[in-house]
Amino acid sequence: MPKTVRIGAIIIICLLVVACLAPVLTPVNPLAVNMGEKLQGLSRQHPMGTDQLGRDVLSRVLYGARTSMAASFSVVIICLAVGIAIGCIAGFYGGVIDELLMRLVDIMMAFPPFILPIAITGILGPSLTNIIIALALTSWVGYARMVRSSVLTLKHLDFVAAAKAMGSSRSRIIREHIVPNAVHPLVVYAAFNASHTILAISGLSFIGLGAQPPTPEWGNMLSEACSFMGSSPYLFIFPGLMIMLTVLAFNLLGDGLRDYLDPRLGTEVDL
Amino acid sequence: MRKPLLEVKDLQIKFETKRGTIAVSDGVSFAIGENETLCLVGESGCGKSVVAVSIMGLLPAHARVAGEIRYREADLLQCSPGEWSRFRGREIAMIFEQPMSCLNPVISAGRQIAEAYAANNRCSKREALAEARRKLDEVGIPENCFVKFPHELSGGMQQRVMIAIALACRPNLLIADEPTAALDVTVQCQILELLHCLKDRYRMSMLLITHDLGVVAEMADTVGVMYAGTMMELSGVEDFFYRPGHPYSRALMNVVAGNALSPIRGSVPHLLEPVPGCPFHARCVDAVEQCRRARPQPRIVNGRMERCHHFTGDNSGRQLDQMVSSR
Repeated sequence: MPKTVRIGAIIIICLLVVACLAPVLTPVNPLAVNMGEKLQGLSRQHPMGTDQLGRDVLSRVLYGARTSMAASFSVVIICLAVGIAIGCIAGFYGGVIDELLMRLVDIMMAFPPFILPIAITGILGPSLTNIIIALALTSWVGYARMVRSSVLTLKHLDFVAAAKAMGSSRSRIIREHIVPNAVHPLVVYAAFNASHTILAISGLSFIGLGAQPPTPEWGNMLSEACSFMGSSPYLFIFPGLMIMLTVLAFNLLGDGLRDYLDPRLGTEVDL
Repeated sequence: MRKPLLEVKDLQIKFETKRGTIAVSDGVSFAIGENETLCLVGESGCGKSVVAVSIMGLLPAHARVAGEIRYREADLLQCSPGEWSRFRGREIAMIFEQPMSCLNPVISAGRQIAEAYAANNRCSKREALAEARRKLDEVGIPENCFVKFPHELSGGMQQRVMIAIALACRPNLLIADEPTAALDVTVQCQILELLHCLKDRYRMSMLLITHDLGVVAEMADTVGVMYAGTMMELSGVEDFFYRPGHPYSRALMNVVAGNALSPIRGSVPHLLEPVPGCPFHARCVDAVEQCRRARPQPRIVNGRMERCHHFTGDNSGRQLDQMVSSR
């Protein structure tokens, strides 16, 4: 397995652990305002300092991992579910169903990827849930396209005919034979989509459409830090580093997996 | 006479293509009794596999099928797709030529067998897996291969897994489309032996498609010779080998039984341009003017069917040993 996959996976696992164990790792409440300790620099008590309301930046960064990971994973999971279902139906049944679903995909693809979430939050109101819905609405199309194209090649393969010859029903063939074969190209796509989602969520939160203060989220921490950029740079350095680290981890994972899973690129053989 | 298990009557299969209609099967008829093996032989492209696939109801959508495929009391061609699929697996199962491509690459061997069993039986996952273990043992695969994936198995093992899958629901009719063509000669032998043994154990009937006359001699009760989509001869295995009737059968026999290699000259006519008269006349040593003009109709004498203008039912003058010695 390539080094990049391992590094990416390790970082992501660490982030997940951090997200899960945030209350244990930092006993300080990320929402606790303490005006007496506002904008303090790095200290033993507050390793990443405190913000303009005296909240502990470390605990906000750790709780921010929660928000970001939960949001990006929900988007990816929703997209996987919808994308696989729509892609399989379109690819396997073909004909009018395929035509209708693929035109829907085309319509969704015609929207610029950042405009639709902004429009949707404009309608539904800014909140993290609405951002998740908006991002899922724009990203499932890629999954559906990929699954459909795999299904189109898979359904003509001999083992599908053989399964049919064994009396398997259509739904059974899709479930047991098509889906397991169609998902592995999705793994790479999902990794890149996750990194993309993290950036999008941070970006949208930065402009005030995503997670609403006081929810600790890296994007809105950055936007709050803007006013104190000169005096307290640590306020945006740490959330910024976290965003970078997470995106990097998902990209390393996706890149590595692509090389690892692509049989055409000579991968090392484990002997 | 007892009622046959499978009866194919005047099966006509046509493919509509951009370049015209191709008749890949033209009036094929045969019957397979309980516990009987019918071997279909003939050159490549003679429509053997298409006939097999049509019995399974797996022909592509552009195929036009007419005639009658009767399994027990049911006429399969009159069945709805749903009704037909109830026969697959449970009543009729099929083994294909390329085990590698017919096995799902991402599912382990054991689970694929269990899946085939579960597809036709209401059962828990555990029951299906237990049944799969039994089947795997029956086809002679060691226990540790249960969790292996198809690419980790040899060709012979893969074919054994295919057989286990086909037998998962104890079908009454097994269709084997060149089950040994992709295998090594020694492995071929083992697989045939396995099929023979399982056929007796499960009291199955078998439709075996092969190029190999040795396999025919080993396995068949009845032999059907196909040429250019037509059934040229249908006779008992003894008759076929000792008193080959049709000139095409004799030519086939000549290829393998002679001391020197004696190929049949020419090649199978292209199905897009059907030849008038007997489809074999261009390559037939006995062809006369009548063969070029009129298509021979099937004639049945003494339980054997032939499509040949020369056929009278009396083959005493054409015995194989005479034929070989005369060369």
